[in-house]
Amino acid sequence: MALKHALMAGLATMTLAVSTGATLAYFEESLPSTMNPLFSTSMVDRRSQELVFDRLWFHDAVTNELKSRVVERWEIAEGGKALKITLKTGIKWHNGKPLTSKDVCFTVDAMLDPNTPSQLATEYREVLEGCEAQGNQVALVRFTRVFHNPRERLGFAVLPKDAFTSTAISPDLDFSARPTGTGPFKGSRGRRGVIFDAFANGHHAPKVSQLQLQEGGDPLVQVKTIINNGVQGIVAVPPPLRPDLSASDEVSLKGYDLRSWWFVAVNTNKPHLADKRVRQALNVSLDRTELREFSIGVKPGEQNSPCEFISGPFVQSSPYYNRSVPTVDRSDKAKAKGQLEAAGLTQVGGRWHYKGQPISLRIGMKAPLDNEAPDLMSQIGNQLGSMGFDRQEFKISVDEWNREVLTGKATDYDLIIGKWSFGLVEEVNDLFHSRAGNEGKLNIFNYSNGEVDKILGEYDASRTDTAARDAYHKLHDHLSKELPYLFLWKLDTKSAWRTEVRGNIIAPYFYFTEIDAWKYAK
Amino acid sequence: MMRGVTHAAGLALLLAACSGDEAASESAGEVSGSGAAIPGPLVEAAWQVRMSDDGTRAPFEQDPAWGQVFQRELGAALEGFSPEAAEGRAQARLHLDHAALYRQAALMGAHATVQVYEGEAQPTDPEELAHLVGVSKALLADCEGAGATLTAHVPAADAPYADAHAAWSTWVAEGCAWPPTEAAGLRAQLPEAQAGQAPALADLPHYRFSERTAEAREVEASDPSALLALSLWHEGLARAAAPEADGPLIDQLLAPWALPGEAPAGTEVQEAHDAWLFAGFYTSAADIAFVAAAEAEGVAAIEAWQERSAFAAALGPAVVDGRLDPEKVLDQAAALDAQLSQAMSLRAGGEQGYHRPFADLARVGALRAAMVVAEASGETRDSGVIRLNVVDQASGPTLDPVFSMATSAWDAGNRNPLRAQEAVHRLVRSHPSVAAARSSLDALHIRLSRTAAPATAAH
Repeated sequence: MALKHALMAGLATMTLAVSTGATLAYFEESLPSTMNPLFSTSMVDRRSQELVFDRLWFHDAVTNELKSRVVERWEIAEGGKALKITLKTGIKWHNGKPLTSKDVCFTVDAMLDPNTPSQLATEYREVLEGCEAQGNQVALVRFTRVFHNPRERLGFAVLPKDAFTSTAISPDLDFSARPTGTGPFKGSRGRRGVIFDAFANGHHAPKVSQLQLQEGGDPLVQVKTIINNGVQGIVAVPPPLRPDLSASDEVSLKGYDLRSWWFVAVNTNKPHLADKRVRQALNVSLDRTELREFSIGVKPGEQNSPCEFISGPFVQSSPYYNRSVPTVDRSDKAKAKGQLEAAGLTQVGGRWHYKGQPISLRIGMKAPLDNEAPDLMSQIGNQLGSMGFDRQEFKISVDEWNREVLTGKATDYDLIIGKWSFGLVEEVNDLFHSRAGNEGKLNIFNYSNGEVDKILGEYDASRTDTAARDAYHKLHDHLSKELPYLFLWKLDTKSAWRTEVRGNIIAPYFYFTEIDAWKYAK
Repeated sequence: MMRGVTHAAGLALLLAACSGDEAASESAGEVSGSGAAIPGPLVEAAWQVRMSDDGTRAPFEQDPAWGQVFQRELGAALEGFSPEAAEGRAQARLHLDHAALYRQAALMGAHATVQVYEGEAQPTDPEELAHLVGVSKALLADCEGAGATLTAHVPAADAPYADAHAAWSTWVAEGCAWPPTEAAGLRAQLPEAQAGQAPALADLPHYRFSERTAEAREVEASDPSALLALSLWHEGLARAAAPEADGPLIDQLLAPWALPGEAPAGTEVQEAHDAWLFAGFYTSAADIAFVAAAEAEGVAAIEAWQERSAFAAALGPAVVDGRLDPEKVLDQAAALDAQLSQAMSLRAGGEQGYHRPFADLARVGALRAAMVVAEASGETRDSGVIRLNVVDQASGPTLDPVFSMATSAWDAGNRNPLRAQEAVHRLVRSHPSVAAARSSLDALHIRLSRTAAPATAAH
């Protein structure tokens, strides 16, 4: 209620701003954790950064053509192991200084610096070897080997050299909250939202003067607010509320191409969850059909549902999805009971015990997911409760998620409910590989399995499409038995924008790539 | 105002479900379109307005298969119609929809095959894939390129496609005169033509070729020309089922979904029985002819057809400096929607729930027409912008499998496999033969993702 009042109180101000035709407010899933592109971990981070920075090359959201807003021309150099790029002139950073080749090379050097603790940088170290500034406008970017279509590899956001004292960039710098980019908007994060102010530049001409990112709360309030023109957009509308918006002439639903799948990660290092028969029992204890109906609003048998069950770490339309592995749509309590007993668990007074001690499952869920799938954690808890497990439920803040869950430190939990999103690249090695060196960077419960590591190694070593596909098909099959995750479903994302917002093409994955064309037309 | 979406099975039931006290009690005068009005006679000629009369609509309400047409359940509708319905036109229309869908599936498969096995070719690719690249180029009307690719590849004598390769090579060498016949090597074993049936392609994937690596892993591949064969199978049945006089109209209806090498349709306005129009995306036969003309003339067709076609009239004000402005197109399509809604209200004596979905079909139809105009005028990106708006606006009766397939083909041509994979994944449930285009699309995805900028999973 407090949130609702706060939103309504802010409504008058926002509507006044909108009446200038220049300001758009929108609800995000949460506030961004960082606006430094090197340290983005969430889709909110990535969408926000797209407003502030220019990626060296990007794909047109309509034609998919590979384009650059900052590169004037390019040529292959050094026998294919380098790309000589000439920057456009007249591009300014948000602090007024000109963009130069030194900034491009600084960004490359920062990613290559092992003291920059960035997951993305780690990936780029496989691709980039160095960069040499040749005057103010020309940069020679060197690769680790000859790449077919090398420009495709240069999708990183360019950072300003002058904003940092060293190529060893830390995530906790002020830059993460108040970044300097060359993108169409200058961003500044506050405690309750992010303000993006349009920035006049030679290569961007945004028609919206300000964007206001607000943290979305109760989805019903979000929907009412957009219908009342209190905000102009909602990035992710939960499926049950889509018909309400679809029926409105004032709001349009917009497709957002993003591959997202949901899971329950299982802490295999907990003694009572170490036996895979226990995890298999949990897997068949879940009645996904009921979960989907009660939390997503999909009726059993509904055709073309936005929510489709999965049996492994890919969406069903992906070539990596192993279609021979069946999904578990309904619970099978008898089977679950048999597996638990086979694993040595005992039932006392209807509650499951491990080595004489009652099992109480600590279940966590990333808090913003409750808006997209209301009550999912409670529903899962109830189903496990009806199976004979005591449980405690916790909502995990985004901050805690970044600080504890992604780093493998949330070891108190038994189960964690989450969602992963992907674009064209659907690599899952970081989720399942044992944590060691640069491997397993997103392994939530530090799951470690030699066979899985071997399969992931096969994927990494694959030279052909079929070898890569076969490795991931094998991984899918193996994980469906090993169950470090209980795989739930993929869920389509739909945005809603007021119809006064025009030209609003939503780019796959990155979302705001075409923001320059967005405008507000009363 | 609220947009009605219906999900019942029979049309009468559907339309009754759309009509409610709440809807009927709304004002019929709430028309707020900002665009210029289209001439009254064109509004009156729209099937949406004529069908607001209960008596005119009644024949369609009596056959549940029309409800399936309305819901875009193409397979069920085809099975549901009797051969006599609308003198064969009902079955003909559904066969034509299937023909269009499989034409576009063939196009998608051809695009994906060329993009992945030529544009992103790897030295480890099976050399036999050159045959499919050559066939795909032929389907894309790159006759010269097809000839070069097919000639450069000499299949082994016992290759399963050796006969097809020879036949395609001959067809290409003789100038790629449409259509490629059975003799030209279309790879599909289809049953004898039988109206009301929708056979699926058998033995998919067609081929399993070995990679040129020590492991010699199998690459699954299918021939997109099999989808063309299936399309021609349905087209033949459509032409056979409908009265002979409807032939030129069938040409026009198929034109937006034709492959690049096909001859353009005529642009004379044909007489169109309501069975061709009802629950469809054109308001009248003149719209159908206008779109056929726009394929060749681009934006010039708009002025030429202003007084005959509701779509052309609606799009007229969206032409700015000789090209369509996508934002104005959206406004004009919305204005057409509002104008038809108002006219339906007046005709029916009040607003009915089904008026909105009927008008939505016209709105989406106008957008699709604009997309054709922009593309033919060389405004490729604007056409894409309009297309993406159609995708966003499609739901319920406007969610057309044929258009979804066409957008997938467009995406594959743009080397953008993700959205196409989603569409194919959905469509393959109701149209299993579409799987023939899946293997090359999947290969394109994997190959592009492995050469893309580094990325990590995001929460």
